Amino acid sequence: MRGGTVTSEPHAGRSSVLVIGVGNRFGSDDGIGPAVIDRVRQLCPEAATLEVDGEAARLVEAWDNADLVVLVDAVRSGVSPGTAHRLVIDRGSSPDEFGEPTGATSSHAAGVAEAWALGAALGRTPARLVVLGVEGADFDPGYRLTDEVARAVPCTARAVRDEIHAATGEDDRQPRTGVA
Amino acid sequence: MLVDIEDGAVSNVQLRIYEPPRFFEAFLVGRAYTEPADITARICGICPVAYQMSACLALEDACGVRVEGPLHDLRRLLYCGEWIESHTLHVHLLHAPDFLGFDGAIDLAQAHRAEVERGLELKKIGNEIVEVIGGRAIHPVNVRLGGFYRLPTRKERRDLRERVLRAIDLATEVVAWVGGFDFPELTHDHEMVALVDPDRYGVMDGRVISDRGLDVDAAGFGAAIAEEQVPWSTALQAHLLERGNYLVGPMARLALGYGNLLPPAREAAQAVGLGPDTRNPFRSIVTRAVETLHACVEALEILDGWEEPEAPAVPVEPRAGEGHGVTEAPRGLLYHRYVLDEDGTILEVQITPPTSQNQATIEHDLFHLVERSLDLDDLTLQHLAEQAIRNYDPCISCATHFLDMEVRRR
Repeated sequence: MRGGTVTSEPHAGRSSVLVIGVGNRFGSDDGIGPAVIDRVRQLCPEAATLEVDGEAARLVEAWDNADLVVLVDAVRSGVSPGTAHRLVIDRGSSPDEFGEPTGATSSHAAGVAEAWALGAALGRTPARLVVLGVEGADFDPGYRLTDEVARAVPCTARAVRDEIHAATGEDDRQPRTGVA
Repeated sequence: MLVDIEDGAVSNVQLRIYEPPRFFEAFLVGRAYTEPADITARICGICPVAYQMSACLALEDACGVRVEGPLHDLRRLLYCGEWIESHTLHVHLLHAPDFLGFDGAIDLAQAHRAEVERGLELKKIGNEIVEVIGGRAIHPVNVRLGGFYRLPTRKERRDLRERVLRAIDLATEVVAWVGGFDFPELTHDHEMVALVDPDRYGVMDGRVISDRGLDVDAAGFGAAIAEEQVPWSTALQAHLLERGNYLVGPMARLALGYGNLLPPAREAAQAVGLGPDTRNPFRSIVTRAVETLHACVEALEILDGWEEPEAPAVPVEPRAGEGHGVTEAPRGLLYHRYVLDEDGTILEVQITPPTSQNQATIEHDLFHLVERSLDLDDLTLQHLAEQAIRNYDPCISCATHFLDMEVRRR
């Protein structure tokens, strides 16, 4: 078993795909990752999904050598709330697009970057990581997403589905990048 | 963190901690007494079991129920998993780099891959215990008032036992590894407070004891805590009435419960020179490693002696009243208090986490550390301050590699 909750294992003999929602449902917009995971479970019940808090070691354990990991996380970069970010990282690369953490409340972004670097040092990264970020506005304790971020949930979930389909060849639609 | 230096002397050190329990206290008022066990687990992704256990003990206390026997043992087993997971994470990815001259876990992993992999394997076994007993690793959903929703099967227990045997070997190696580090000289003089039980190392049982005469039950501990809002932090700072600042966590537990360490853990501690009188905060990394080994051995003992009870939970009927619960989270005492009305609606909540209890103590240490290190440049001073904070493994520890330190020199 892995850290967190895997609802179903990837199908044997096919490329292994894992969808990870990073965040805390009680951290207001930090809950975007888990909220998208809820929607992905409805859209793609066959997909392996996982909800984690963004701690680096847990991510490394979770994505260990998967072919594709689609990771949904809240982002705080200063653009309009609800804005979509998409970042693709392939095994062997060390991206600098993660940016610098801006404080304890946005340390999950640092968690993903740290997890990638830690995984790389240990030879435990997925072949490809697609980070779908959604710009958040409020990271204080709270159990509701702000309106702009809540509106981004359905299209982000569809973007996750498209990433899965593109990777597994089930659908010839191209991944959407402009999900805002 | 803010440091004020005036005319070459430290005048002020403030640690600004962002902490969510205040929100959860308000969120729980008006909800049913059955809800905190699940909701408070979401306060912390690293120590959800601690929140669940303190909540359950406090609410069961309010309802006049005491869970004992195999269900209590299963809770301790779950707690062992969390100690293994949390301590191993801190030892390997946060604390060890300080002693080996690395900026962080990534550099450490590149240079000491085998040791980091060993740590991750050990941490994963902690995860597995929490998943098998608690249902999930991060927000365990199998815990309820009175016990559990489902009990582990014979096969699950057998498989877990194999994993725990492996964990004992790994944890033994980790104690020897960290015991060989070089430690800066530092001696603290704080009052140390921990849960002490006559029969076993304190986790969920016993009384709250200090090395300077405090001896109270959970209710008495709650009555002795004074919480104070300081303007620079969202976390309340706690101190003990008529006693002042104090220290909770592994160093306090070891000092007060050394004799109750299970023999393999005590022998491993002795082999690396870790005694009950250890007052060097930098050696807390060894204490965490020893407590991890203790938790592994205790997990094995529980699995070997466990007999399945008739039901996964005992009934807990609501009644009007007040209840208190205190348990040892990996980073120290976690106190919960609830007031219920007759149908179990929550009227009042108090959650006092270990970080708010240690905050004033950490500030005190930082003050003296900065005072002695005024000739350092700000960057070096920041690195030293980060190390000092990591000694106490506060919940902010995952953020303190990026400590935002402001030094105002006037």
